[in-house]
Amino acid sequence: MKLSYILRLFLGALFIYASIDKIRFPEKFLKILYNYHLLPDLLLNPTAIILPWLECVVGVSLVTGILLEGGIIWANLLLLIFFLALMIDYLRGMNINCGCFNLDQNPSAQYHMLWYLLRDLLLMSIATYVGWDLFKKRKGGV
Amino acid sequence: MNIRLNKILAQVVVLFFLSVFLAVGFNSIRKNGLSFWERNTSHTSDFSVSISVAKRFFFKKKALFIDARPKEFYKRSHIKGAINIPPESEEELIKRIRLPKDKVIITYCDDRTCGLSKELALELYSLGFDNVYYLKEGFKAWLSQNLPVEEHK
Repeated sequence: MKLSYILRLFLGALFIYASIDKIRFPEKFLKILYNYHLLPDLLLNPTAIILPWLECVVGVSLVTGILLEGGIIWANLLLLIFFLALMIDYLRGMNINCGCFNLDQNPSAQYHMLWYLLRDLLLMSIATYVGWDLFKKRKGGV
Repeated sequence: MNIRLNKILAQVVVLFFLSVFLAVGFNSIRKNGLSFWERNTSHTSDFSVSISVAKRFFFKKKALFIDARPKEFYKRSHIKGAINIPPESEEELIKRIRLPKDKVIITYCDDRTCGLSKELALELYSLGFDNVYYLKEGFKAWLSQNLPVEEHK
């Protein structure tokens, strides 16, 4: 089985997993978005409602291969946005709960910002590799 | 090349609108759906109280103080008469303890940098407690002014 295929499935499963709690507990996710202090008030609720579903849809696309090219572009874009959001708050000296997979506000469930950034960087490299492999293959194949 | 690019862009757009469709649909039929535009966190921007205001409420016995820090910190020392709702059991405790809806509630944690008091206040506000505030300067400021505390030695 090809490495990029395995990584794609892993990434897709991760996106689906990350979306579950956010879809189940929209108020908690809204609170986490608020704590980032990045979005204007007007965009907080729409983002809390739509973003989890976007993650879920992108995850399903990666796992099933349906609309795959769009899915991998969204995966890269979302990971880049998450990375930038975390980086901005890190540079501001904030230590927040990233809310990436777990919406628990308990400080014991919170990690250091650098860990969130490193993890996001790792996922970004996986997504970039999967995308690069996909587009290279399709370019050669068509 | 252009056709291929258009195809990819079309997929990106389709995925986005599919997500919006699912999100809005699901949000409108669920019980705890969020309002799309109305912010229920708007209260958070200006509901802090300063130490002088908190002090006044304390001495007039007009406020219930809630310590939002973890249990071990509360046990060590807390504002006199304060109860503890630690982050690890926030939801459960709010349900169990009957908090007065007609009294002013002031939450606090360590200092300005800690967000626990604000988060708890927001949680209480979303549960219908309109008179809820958080102490901006936190417990450290309370201690520095030698205001009444309870300590467990």
